[in-house]
Amino acid sequence: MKKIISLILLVMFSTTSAGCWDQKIYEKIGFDLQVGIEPTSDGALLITRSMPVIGKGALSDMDIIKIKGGLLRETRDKARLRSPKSAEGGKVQQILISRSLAEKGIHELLEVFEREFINPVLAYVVIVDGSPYELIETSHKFIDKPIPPFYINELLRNGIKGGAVPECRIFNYDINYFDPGIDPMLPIIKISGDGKEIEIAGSALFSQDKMVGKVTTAETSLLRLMSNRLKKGSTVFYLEGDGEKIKKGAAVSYQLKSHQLKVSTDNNKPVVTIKFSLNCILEEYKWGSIENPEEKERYEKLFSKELKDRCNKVLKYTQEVNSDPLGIGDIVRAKENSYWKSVDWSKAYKDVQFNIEPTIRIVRSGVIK
Amino acid sequence: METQESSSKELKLSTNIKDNMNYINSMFNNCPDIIRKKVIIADSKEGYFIYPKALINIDVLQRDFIKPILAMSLEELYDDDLVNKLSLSEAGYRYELNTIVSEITDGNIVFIFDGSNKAISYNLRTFESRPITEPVVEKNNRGPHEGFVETLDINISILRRKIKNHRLKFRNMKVGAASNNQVAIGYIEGIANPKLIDDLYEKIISIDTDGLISLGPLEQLMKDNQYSPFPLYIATERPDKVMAGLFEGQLVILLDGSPVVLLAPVSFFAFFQALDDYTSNWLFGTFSRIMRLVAGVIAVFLPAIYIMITSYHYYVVPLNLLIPLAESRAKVPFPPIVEALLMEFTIEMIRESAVRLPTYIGGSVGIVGGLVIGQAAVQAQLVSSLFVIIVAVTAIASYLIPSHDMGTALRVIRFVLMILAAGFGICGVTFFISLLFAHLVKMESLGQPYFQPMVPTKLKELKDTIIRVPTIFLKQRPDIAKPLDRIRGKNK
Amino acid sequence: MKNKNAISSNQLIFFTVASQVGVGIIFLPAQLAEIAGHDGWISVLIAGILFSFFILIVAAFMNRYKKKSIVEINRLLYGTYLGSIINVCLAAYTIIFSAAILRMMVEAMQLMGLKYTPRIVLTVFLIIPSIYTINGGLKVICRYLHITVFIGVILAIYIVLILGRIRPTYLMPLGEAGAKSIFNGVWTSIFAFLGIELIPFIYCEVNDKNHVVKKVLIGNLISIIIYISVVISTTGLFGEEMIKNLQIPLLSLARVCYSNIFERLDLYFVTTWVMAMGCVLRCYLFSGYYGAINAFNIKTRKWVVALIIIVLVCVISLEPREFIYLKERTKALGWIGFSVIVFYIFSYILSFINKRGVSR
Repeated sequence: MKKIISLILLVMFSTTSAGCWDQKIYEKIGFDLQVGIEPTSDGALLITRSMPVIGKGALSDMDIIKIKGGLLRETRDKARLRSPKSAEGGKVQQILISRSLAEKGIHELLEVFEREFINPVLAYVVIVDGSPYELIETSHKFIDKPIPPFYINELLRNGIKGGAVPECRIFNYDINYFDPGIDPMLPIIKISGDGKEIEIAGSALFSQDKMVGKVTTAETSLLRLMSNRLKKGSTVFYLEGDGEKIKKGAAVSYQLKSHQLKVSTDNNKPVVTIKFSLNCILEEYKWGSIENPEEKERYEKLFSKELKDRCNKVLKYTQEVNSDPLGIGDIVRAKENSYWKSVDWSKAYKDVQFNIEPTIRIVRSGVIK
Repeated sequence: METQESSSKELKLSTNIKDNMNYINSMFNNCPDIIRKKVIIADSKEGYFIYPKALINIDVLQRDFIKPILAMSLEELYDDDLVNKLSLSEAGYRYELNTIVSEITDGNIVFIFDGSNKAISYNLRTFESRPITEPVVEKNNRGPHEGFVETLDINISILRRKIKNHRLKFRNMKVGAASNNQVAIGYIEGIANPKLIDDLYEKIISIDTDGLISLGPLEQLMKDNQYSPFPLYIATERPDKVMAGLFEGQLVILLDGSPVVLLAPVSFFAFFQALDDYTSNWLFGTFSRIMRLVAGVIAVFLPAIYIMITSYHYYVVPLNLLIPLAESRAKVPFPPIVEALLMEFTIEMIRESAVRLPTYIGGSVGIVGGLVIGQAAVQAQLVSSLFVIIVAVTAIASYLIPSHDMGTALRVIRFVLMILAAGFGICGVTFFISLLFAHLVKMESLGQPYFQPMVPTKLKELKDTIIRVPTIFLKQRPDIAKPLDRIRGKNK
Repeated sequence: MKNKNAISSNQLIFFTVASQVGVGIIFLPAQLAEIAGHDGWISVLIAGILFSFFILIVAAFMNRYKKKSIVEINRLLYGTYLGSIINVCLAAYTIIFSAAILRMMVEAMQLMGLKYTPRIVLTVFLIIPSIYTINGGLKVICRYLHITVFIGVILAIYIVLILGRIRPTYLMPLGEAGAKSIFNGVWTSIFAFLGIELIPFIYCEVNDKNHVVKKVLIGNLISIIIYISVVISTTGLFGEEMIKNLQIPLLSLARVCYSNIFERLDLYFVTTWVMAMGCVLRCYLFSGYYGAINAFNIKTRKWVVALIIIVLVCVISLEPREFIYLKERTKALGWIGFSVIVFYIFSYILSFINKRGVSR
C-alpha cells in the first residue's frame, strides 16, 4: 500500500515538474535530417548538420550548421551551443560522406549510429562527389525541389526500386563490411552540371573500408541483377546500324525470372558461373520491330550478347580495383571452404573466372509490332 | 434488543381487535397514507381494513372485498376456509403481527376482525407505472424497441411474455434493512447451473445495507471486486438481451424500482457485443465487433501514445508528419501532457454537462462543444490541431462501446495511462499494459474467469467473441455460465 | 476457499516456455558466435535435447512423491536440519535470479531512451505488476503467461520481416566450428534453457499430474524452436563476424526492420521484450515466495515473507552498477542453475536409498 502511495506521489511530482528526467519535448528538438562529413585541411572533420526550421517568422526552411570536430557526437554538442533547438540525431535520413574521406575509410564514422539506440541504422549512406556542405547549401536553395533531405530520400528510394542505386542503409554497409567475402557498394551523388538538381552519378565500389572505384548506374543495376538483388528494371540496348538513326537503341523493361550462381574450383582458381534469365518487354524501338518469331529470336540473341559483354566488362573492372560486390568470396567460403582457407581472398579475387550466361526472352512488344 | 425482536416475531394476533389495532396504530402513527377503515360486520362486531391508499385499486377493494365481507354472517367469517370462498385472486391468512405490518407496507390489504386470530391479506397492488418504451441509452436497428420499467412485477411479466416456458423461474428475496427492496434472480431451470444460482443467492442475501436506490449499489455491494473500474455484470434495460442471456444459462438480477437489470456471469468481451451483431448477417456482425474492439483500444491508448511520442520518443514519428507536427506543436505554450489533460477534461466536462442538461439544450451542447471549443482552441493556439483530431477520434471511439459501464471504465483508465505516459514514456505504457492484463485475468465474474475465452483459452468460444460466425455454427451454448445443457434447440 | 494455486498441466506449458525464453535469448546469439561461429544453433539444439532428458528425470523424481513440494521432499530426504539449509539455498537462488532478471529489465528500459531516470525508480516501477500478479496466486500467473503467445507472434513478425535478407551462406559450411567448439557452446546455452528447475516447486499444484511430462516436454520443444529460429535468423542476417560485436543481437535485428508507415519498428520490440522478461520474473518470484512459505510452514501474515523477498530482490538487483558485470553474472547464474538441476538428479538417485515419504 505504501509503495503505491509513494509511486503516485512520484508520478505526480514527475509530471508536474519541468522535465521528468528523460523527457525530450517534441517541438524543442532540432531534428538533424542530414549529416555531412568531409575532411578539413588540417586533418579534422567538418560536419554539416541540417535541420528543418520550425515556427513562424523564419525566412528559410532549413538550418544548416557547419562545425569542425573530431567526433560526430562532439559536433552535436557544439551544434547545441549554436542552434535554438536541441540537436538530436534520431531522425537522420542520410549521411553524406565526401569522396576524399571515403577513400580513406568510413567504417568508424558510422559507428555512433550503431552504438546509440536512438540513432537509426536505417539512414542512407551516400558518397558525395565534392563537398557535402556545398551540396546541402546549394540544394537547399532549389526553388522547384523539396527540401534536400526529402529530395535525396526520394531519389534514393526510387533509385533502389529501379535498380540504379544499391541498397545503402547503414546496416547494409555494416553487414557487408564485416563479412570477409563481400564488399559494400554505396551510391554517389553530386550537383548536376547545370547546378539545378542533385544527380545520382553512379556507385562507389569499396574494398572493405575504402572506396576504390566507381561504376555507372547502368552497371550498378547489372551488379545487383547478377547478385540476385534486383527483381525488375529497365535498360537500353544499342544495336548495330543504329548509328545514323535519330533514335538510338531499343529500350526494354525486364523482370528477373530465374537466377543461379555456382562456384567451383578449377586448377586452384575459382570459377563462377552465373546463369540468369530475364523476361523482357520491348518498350521503345521502331515501327515494325518484331514481325515474326525469327526476328524475335535474333533480337534476343543480340541483346543477350550485349548484356553478357556488359557484365563481363563491369566484373573485370571490379577485379581490377579488387572490390567484390557480388559476394563471391562469401559463397566460396561457404561452398569451397578448404580453398577459401588456403588463399588470401583480396589477392585471389582477380583470378576468378566469370562465366556469365544471360538468357533474354522478349515476352511482349506492346500494342504495335 | 434481541429479546424484544424475538418477542415481536412471535407476536401473534390476539382475538381481541383492540389489542391488534393498538399495535398496528402504534406501528403506523404518522403514516397518513395507510388507511385504517373500520367496518361493522355481522353481530355488531368490529373489523378493520388496513391498506396503503395509493398502492391499491379502490374499486376492486370496495366491490370484491369489503362488500362480500359485510354481507357475510359470523359463522361464515369464522370459517377456516373463508379465504377460498371469497372472490379474491391472491389472498392468504396471516397470524403474526409483524408479518401484517410488512405486508401492508408491501402494498397488501389486510382485514382483521374481532374474535379471530387470523388476518386476511389480499394482494391488490396496482400503481402507476411508466409505459414501456425503448431505453434511451441502448438503441438498436432491427430488434424490438421495448425496455424494462421500474415495477418488478411488470418486468417479470415482460420476460414471461417472451419466454413462454414453465421452466423460467424466479427466486425472490428481500434486501435492505430499512427499505426491504424486492430482488429477484431469474433463470431457466435445466440450463442454468444450480451452483451459480446458489452462489449468487448467497452473495445477495449477505448484503447488509439500508436500502438500494438503484441497481448500482447492489452491484457494488456484491463484494466481488470493489477496487476495479471494470464492471463484472452487464447492466441492461432491454428484455431481448436478457432473453438471449437466459438461453445461455446466465442469471438475471431484477430489482424492484430499477428498470436496469443485471446479467451474470459475463466475460469482458460481452461488453463489446450488441444485439445488432445477431440480428444482422454474420459478416456485418463480425465487422462491427472488430470495429468495436479496435475502438476500445483506440479510446484508451491514443492520447497516451501522442503524449509518449511528443515527450519522449520523437523518432517514431513518420517522416512526412515530422515537420507539420512540429509546426503545430511549436505554437502551443504548454508541454504535451498539460495540453492533453486540458483538452480531455474539456471533453469530459462537455460529456457530463450533456447528461445533466435538459433535453432541449443537450443537442446543441454537442455542436457548441465540437465546433466552437475545438476550433477556437486551435486558433487561440492553446492546443495543436493534430491533438484536436486525436481527442475527437478518441471521443467517438469511446461512444462505440455498447455498455455504458465499460465506457466509463475505459475513460477512467485512459487518464491514468496518460499520466503514466507523461511520466515514464514507453516504460509507463508497458507497465500499464502489464498491470491491466494481470488485472483482467485476475478478475472473476461470479467465479468464472473474466477474460475468457482469450485467457483461459477456449477455442470453441472464440467463434462468437471477436468474430461472429454464421448462426448455423452457433448451436452450442457458451461455457461461461457453465450451463447444464450444452446444445440449443429441441432436436438434439 | 478455492485454491488459487491450482493449475492444469496445459498451463504448465506456458509456465515452462515463459520461464525459459525471456532472459536467455538476450545474449545468446552473440555468445554462441564467439564460441562456435555460425554453428551455434547446433549447440542450442543439443542443449535443448539434453534438457529434455533432465525433464524426464526431474518429473520421475517428483512422481515418486505425489502432492509434495520440493521443499518438503528436501526435508524428508536430507533430514530436517540439512533439508532446511537446502531450502534456504533454493530460495536464495530464486531471489538472486529474480534480481538479475529485474536488473536486465531495467537495463533494457534505460537502453531505450530512459537514460537519466534513476534506477531505483525503474526497479520499483517494473516490479509492481509482478507483485500484483503473484498476489493472485499461481492460477493468475499462468493466465497472465498467455501473453507469451502474443509476444511470440510479434517475434515471428520481426523474423518474417527480415527473412528476405538472410543469407544462407552465413550459416555454411555446416560444422565448420568443429565438435569441440560446439560442445563449448552447449555449456553457454545452458543458461538459456534454465527454467525447468522451477517445476519441482510448483509440481504439487498441478491437477492432472500424469500429463505433466508430456506438457513440459512440449514446452521445452517450443523453447528449442524459438531459440533456434532466433539464433539462425540473427546469424543469417548479420554474419558471425558482425554478431560478435553486438551486445544484444535480437535488438539489433529489430532495429533493422522498417516498414512504409512506421519507419522504425524497434521501439515496439523492446516493449514486448520487457514484458517477456516480466513473465520470467513472475515465475521465479513466485517460486521463491511459494518455496519460502512452504519451507517455514507459514500460514498467516504471508505478506511479510512477500515483502522481505521483494525488498531483497530490489536491493540485490541494484548491485552491479555497470552493465558489463551483468553479463558475467549471467554466466555464473547459468552454472548455479545447472547445479540445481544436478542436485535434483542426485536427490532422485538418493530417493531410492532413503525411501521416506515415497508414495507408491
